[in-house]
Amino acid sequence: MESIIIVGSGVAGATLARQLLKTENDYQITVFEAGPDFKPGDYRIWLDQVMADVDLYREFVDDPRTEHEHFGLRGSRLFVKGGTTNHWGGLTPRFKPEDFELKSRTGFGTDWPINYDEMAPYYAEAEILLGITGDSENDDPPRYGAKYPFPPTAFTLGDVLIIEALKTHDISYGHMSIARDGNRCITTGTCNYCPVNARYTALYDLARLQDEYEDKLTLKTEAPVTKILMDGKKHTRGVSFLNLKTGTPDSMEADAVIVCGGTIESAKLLLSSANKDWVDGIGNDSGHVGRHLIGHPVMGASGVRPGNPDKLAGELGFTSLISRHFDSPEYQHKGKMWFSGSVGLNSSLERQILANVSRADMDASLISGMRISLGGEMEQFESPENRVSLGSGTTRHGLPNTEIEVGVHEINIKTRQEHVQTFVEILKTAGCTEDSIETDAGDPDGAHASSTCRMSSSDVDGVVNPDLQIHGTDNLYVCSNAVFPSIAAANPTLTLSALAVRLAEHIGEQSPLVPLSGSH
Amino acid sequence: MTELKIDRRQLIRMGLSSSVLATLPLGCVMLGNDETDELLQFVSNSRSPVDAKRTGSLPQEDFEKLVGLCQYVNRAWELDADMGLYFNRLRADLDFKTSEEPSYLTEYKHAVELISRMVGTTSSVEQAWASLLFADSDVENFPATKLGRARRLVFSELITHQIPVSGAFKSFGLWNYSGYFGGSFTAPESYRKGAV
Repeated sequence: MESIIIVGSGVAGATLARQLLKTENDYQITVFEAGPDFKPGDYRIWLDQVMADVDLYREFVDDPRTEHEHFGLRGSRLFVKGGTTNHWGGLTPRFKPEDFELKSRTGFGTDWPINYDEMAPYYAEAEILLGITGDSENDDPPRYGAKYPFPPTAFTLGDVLIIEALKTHDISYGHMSIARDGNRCITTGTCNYCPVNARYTALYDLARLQDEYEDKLTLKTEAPVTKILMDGKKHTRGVSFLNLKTGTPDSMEADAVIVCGGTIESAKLLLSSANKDWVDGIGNDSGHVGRHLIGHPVMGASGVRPGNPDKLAGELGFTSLISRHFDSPEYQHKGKMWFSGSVGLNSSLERQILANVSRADMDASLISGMRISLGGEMEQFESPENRVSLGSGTTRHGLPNTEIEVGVHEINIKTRQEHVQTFVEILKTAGCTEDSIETDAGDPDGAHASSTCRMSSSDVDGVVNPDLQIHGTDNLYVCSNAVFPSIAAANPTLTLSALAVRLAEHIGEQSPLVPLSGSH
Repeated sequence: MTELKIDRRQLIRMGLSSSVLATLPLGCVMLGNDETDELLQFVSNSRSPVDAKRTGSLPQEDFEKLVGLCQYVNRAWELDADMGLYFNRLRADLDFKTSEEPSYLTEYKHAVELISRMVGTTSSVEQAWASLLFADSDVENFPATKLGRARRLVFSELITHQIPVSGAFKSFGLWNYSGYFGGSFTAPESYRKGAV
C-alpha cells in the first residue's frame, strides 16, 4: 500500500481522489481541508436558501482583513469541504487549441508545454465525471467524437430574442456547457445549493467517495496544511498541519503529496515551506512561485426592452446560451472573450407582493417590458509583476496572510471597453432603449485566479513540469489553476478537472511512487 | 394600549395598494403606536431565529393560523393556487424549520400570538393581515420588535415559499420559478423553450 496526501478538497482534490482510488493500485489517500465539513443535498439547508435567501457560504469566505480591493478574494473562493465548487456556476467550456499557444500566436505570456490534442481525451473524461450537459455536435473546439453525458439545455424563449440580435450582427452562438445532471434535476433556479446534488460539487463527490472507499480515503477537515516536509531537495515525506478542532500542530507522512489548494494557497504553501535546500520556497529557485497571477476581467451590460406580451422571465435559472465568437484566434492578440445573456424580471413576484404592489400593477409591470442582460469574461495577459506573496500574521485558519500585487494589461483594459460597446450594440438591436442601458466592467478577482505555479518544460520558466511535478522533485505535485501557463477566456474548472484526470493517470503509472532509495 | 386610528387615506399614504384596500371593509385599521405595545416590544437584534435550540412541532392550530397569511395572499393577489395541496407541503417544510436547529418554533409562536390578537381586534381577517403586513411602516425601522421580526422571519419567508412552491407564479403566465419542483430542465414542459 502506498500513501498519498492531497492538500485541498475542491474539484482537483476530489477528481484526483476518485481517479486514483479506481486504479488497481493500492492507495491510501488522505485529503486535507482547511475549512469545515458541510452537508451536500440537505433539504433544510436548501429550504433556508429558498425561504430566507440565506448566504449559505458566508462563514467560509476569506477573513475581512484579507480582502484585497483590487483582487477580491473574499467571496470568490471558499474554505470548506468541496471548496469553491460549493458556489460555482458550473460553466464548463473547454479551452480552445489556440489557448495553449498564446506566446507563439501573440507574443504575450507563455505557451503551455502540452497542446489541445493531448488534453482532448482528458477533457472528455472530465465532462463525464462532472456530469455536463452540452452540445456534442459543436466542434469548436474539436471534440473528436466525444459525447457529453447529457444533451444541451434548450434555449429559452428569452434567449431567442438575444439570438436574433446576434444574427443581425453576424455573431456566432451556441449552447452553454454546464455541470448539471439532467436526469437528477428536480428544480432549477436554486442551483447555488442543489437539494438533490444535480449540480456538480466536489462536496458531494467526496461524500460519495467516502461511502465507496471507506477504508481507503480519509478526509481531514479543519486541518490546514502549513508546511510540506522534505527529505533533501527532491523528496517529500509528508506535511505539517494544524488540527483546528484541538488547536494543536500535527504532521503526517506519505509517499507522495499533491497540492490542490487553489492558485493563492498552493503558491503560499510552497513559499512557506522554504527550507535549507529550497531557501526561497519549494520549486522557487527560478522565482516563479507566486508570480504571473491572472484572473478574468469581467464585463456586462443590461437594458430594458419595452413590451413583454409573452411575460418572458428567467424561467431556467441558469444560462443556456453562450457566444464564443470573440473567443477565437482572430481576437487572441487583444484578449479573447465569451459572453452569455438572459432575460429576467426587474423584481421578483414575492418582493412585489411584500412591497404591496397590486395584482393589476404586477400584471401591467410584467407586460410593460423586460430586462435583457449580457455578461462575459475575457482573457488577461500575465505579467511577472502580478504576484501572490506571504503577508505578516495569520488567517483564522492559521495560514499566512495573503499579499497580492496585480494590475491589468492596458491592452486588456482597452479591449474590455470594446467588448462592452459590443454588448451595448447587441442590446440596442434586441430592442432595449438607449437610455435604459447600463454597463459594467470589472478587474479580475480571485474567482478564476491562475498561474502562480505555472507549468513549463524547463525549471527556468516555471514551477511544475508537464506532469505537474514540481521541477527538481520526484514525489511532489501541484494540481490547481496555479499550474495554468495562461488562462484563456473560458472558465477554468473543466480544464483543471481534465488536468487532474491526466495527473492521476500519470501517478498510477509510477510504481513505486517513491523512487528506490539512493536514486534521489 | 394606545390605539391609532388609520383611515383609508392614511393607508394609501403608507403604500397600501388599491387591491388590498378593496378587500377591507369600510372603517379603519387599528395598530398600537405605543412603544410599550406588544407589537413593538423588543425581542432581539439577531438575524437568526430566537430560541434557535428550542425544537419541536408547531401545533396544528398554530399552523392553521399561520397559513391564514397564505390564504389571504392567494385571495388578495388572485394567485389561484391549489391551497390544499400546498398546505401539505408547507406543513412538512415548516416541520423541517422547527425540528432542526436553528429552529423557528419560537418565532412562529410569536407570530401566531400577533395574528390571534389582530384577528381578535379588527373587523375582518383581511383587515388583520393587511395591518400585520403593511400598516405602520415605521415598524420597518424597528426590525427587532415582535412585529418587525414576524414580518422578516415569518411572513416574508412564507410568501417567498408560497410563490414558487404552491405554483402561484403560474397565474402570472410563467412556466417555471426558482424553487418550484417542476422536474428536470430536460422535461419538455419545464420552461418555455425557444426555437432558433
